[in-house]
Amino acid sequence: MSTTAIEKNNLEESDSVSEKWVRPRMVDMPKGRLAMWWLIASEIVIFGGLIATYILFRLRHPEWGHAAGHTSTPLGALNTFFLLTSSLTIVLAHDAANRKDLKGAVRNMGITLFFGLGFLVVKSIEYSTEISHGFTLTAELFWSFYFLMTGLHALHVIAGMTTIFIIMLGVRKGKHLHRVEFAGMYWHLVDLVWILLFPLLYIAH
Amino acid sequence: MATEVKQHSVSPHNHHSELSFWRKYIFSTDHKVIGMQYLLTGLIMVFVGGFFAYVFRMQLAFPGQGIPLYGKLDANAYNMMITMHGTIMIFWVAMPLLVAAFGNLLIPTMIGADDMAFPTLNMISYWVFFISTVVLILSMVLPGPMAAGWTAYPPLSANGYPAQIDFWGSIGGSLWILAVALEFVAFLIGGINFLVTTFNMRAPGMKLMDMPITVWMMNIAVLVFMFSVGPLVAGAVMLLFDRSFGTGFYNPAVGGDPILFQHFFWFFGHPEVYVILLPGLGMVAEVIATMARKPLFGYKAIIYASIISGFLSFIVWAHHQFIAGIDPRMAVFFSFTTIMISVPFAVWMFAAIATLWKASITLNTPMLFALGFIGEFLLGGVTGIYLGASAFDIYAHDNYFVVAHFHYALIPDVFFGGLAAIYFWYPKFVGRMYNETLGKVHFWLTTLGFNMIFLPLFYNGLKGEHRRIFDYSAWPSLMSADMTQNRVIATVGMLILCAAQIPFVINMIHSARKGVKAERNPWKANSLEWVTASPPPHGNFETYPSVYRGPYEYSVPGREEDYWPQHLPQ
Amino acid sequence: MTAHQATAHAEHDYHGHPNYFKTYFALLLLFSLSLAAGYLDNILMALLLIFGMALIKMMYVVNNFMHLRFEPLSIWFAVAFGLVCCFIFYFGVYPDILWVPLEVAH
Repeated sequence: MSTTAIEKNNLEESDSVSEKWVRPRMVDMPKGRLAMWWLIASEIVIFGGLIATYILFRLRHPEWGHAAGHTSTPLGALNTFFLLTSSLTIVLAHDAANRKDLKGAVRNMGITLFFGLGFLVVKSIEYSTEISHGFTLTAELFWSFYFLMTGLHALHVIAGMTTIFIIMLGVRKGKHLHRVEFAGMYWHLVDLVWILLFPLLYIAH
Repeated sequence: MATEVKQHSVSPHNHHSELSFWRKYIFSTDHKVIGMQYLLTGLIMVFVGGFFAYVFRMQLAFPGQGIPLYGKLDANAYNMMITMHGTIMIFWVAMPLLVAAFGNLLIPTMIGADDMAFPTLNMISYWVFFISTVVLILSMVLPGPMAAGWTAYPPLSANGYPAQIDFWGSIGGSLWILAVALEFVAFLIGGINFLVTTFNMRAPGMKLMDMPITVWMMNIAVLVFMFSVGPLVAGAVMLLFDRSFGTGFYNPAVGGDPILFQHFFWFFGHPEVYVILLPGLGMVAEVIATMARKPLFGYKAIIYASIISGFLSFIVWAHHQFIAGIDPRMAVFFSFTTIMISVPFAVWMFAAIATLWKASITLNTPMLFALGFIGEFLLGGVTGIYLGASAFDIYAHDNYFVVAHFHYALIPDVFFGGLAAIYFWYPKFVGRMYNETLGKVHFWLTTLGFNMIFLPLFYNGLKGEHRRIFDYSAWPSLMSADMTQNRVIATVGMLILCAAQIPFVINMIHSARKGVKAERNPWKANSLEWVTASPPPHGNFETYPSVYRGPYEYSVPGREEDYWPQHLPQ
Repeated sequence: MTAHQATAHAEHDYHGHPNYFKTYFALLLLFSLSLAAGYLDNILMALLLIFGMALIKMMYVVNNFMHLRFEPLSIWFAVAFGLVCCFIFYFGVYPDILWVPLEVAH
């Protein structure tokens, strides 16, 4: 690159703590990962806007605390546990794919899919319990928000699982190993949103 | 960097000659074909949106009389048409034309790349956009089309509260929401592609500050789009729920708030103005620098100003809601930021005028349109400063003054800027020269028609002519002789503007088949797209160029030629 | 350049990556703590603890699982700007939702 770029690189090197590692610049990033980060940034604004709105309305309506008391904290906690664990397994799959360990990658992706499925099953149990107790989409504005936010999140879970499944088929044949990382990043985003939704909708009442 | 570009460029495209017609022209992954597809879709949609404008302008000038080519207009159809006119002109004309089409055509060629970073994703982006176009057209013909204005404020857009759920009876409006959402998906995919392409695939030696200003503006626009569209996606889903399932997100009776949708809409809607405006500014600056044979004045200042305006565009949105009953203390803040945001654009204006200072100007069609842009946009910008002051805005916001204002901002940008770009790059991407005489006729008629429509509307607006009214006969105070006369003048101007497009269509079609073959660099311009053949072959460059200097080295003292292409070594 | 890039990239993925299991157990610990905080009597304290821990958990996931700390600073800024936009939206809408008495909204 140009001289200024090299100088900049040197500067950053002297700043960084590790003696060998240099913080990369955007030009040096693989295209796929850069695109994933842009995608994540735009998803952050979608969920962020929704969560900001929910917080505003939650502050406006203190009485929603009672409604929030009817969500099932144990089931929500179980789901949080599922997603946290699946985040670990997908990052292990990424690690395995980096080491060209196909079996390990496929196994870990399989476990991730299993936990994702578990999440959806628990979610549908929750939904059916709530609806049978009369807490439908139109019952109260809190439930409208609840179903909208968890529903949108569940759609992302399904999208993430589909992506992981398709990539898993490729990885079995040893193709597109670098894509495991991209699916993983998306899956972590799903996890992140849930980490924030769980206290907002379940714990805080 | 050099080898890298070549590696992921040349290999996948070597066997392009074997591609079938479908793969080559319909489901193509070539950024130039995709750009052309966006361009053609945008140009077809401009006629749909223009036809609606024709129908309701005729109705306003001659209320209640049969309209040629349409017949008698009723109030519901009128509401549907103003809604669709706004939606189509912003989302299906300005966005695909300025951002998607020229972004696709210009970004890879200007930075010396063979294609976009993700060609398949690029193709998907267009086809999602195409599906959204089909859905939009379906939404107009199915029962219950959206008729609440292009801003779709609830409760009107939610069929009123308490919601009367009539899923099939209001399917048109729901499809309208879906179409807009799909369109956002298409541009998000395309936008990510633009960003990655610009950051990762520049020609060797091209620093960020060596990029043509168009590439900069496209990327700032995409960033602004990406970060502003999120809340509206959430808000549109809420609106869809309110319409289809009877929830009450925007219903105050159950604790919702209709103002919330306005915030969602304008938090995106205002940055959207800059998403459209910035690429136009970039392309016009390109035309001005080339035709004035002078370095673009204040290249870096323009870029910094645009970045600042991109940021400021996130904190001005509530000036669209001064009359909606927002908190007056916030109105003060938003007035202040609104007037502040005119500064970056003043920087651009002065830079453009300073570029023209003592230049040897070639007055051909693209340059005429670029100069027209400067003059007309000034009027839109200055009235914008009036409207930014909330005290004036409360009077002028819901009448034709604001209509004239935003048409004076957007038509110079989309129409003049877009046409300057179309004429300027026509030789490059079609490979033949356009007809200069027809182009000049097109310019003068367009300018005449455009000003005839909107100058009288400023006057009528200040006299209190309300927007979105189907027939003014019921308001005697709005039927005075001068106001009626102005409405007729505006309608005649609209007819002239429509007629002015005939030479354009003839020019484009005739020149594409019979025009003089264009050379590689007909304008003697510097940037990289002029290095390659016209039209550029598959893969864009025969040999991939390296970059040695910025894109605006015109009339450098001591050189024989008055231009100095970016790829020539010292 | 491609080859060089690939090695550079692989390098910080192999040697530099954090211990995933450690991160995972830290996440689980924080998670159970925030569940316990839900039973505190002091509501303000409980809320602060719960959301504080949610933020720490998110930082862990972003930095260690998504490897944000090995990415260019510009990526960090891009993601942060998304959050900034949400905050701008929040504070712009705040007065219209919260300073309006409910009766007026009706």
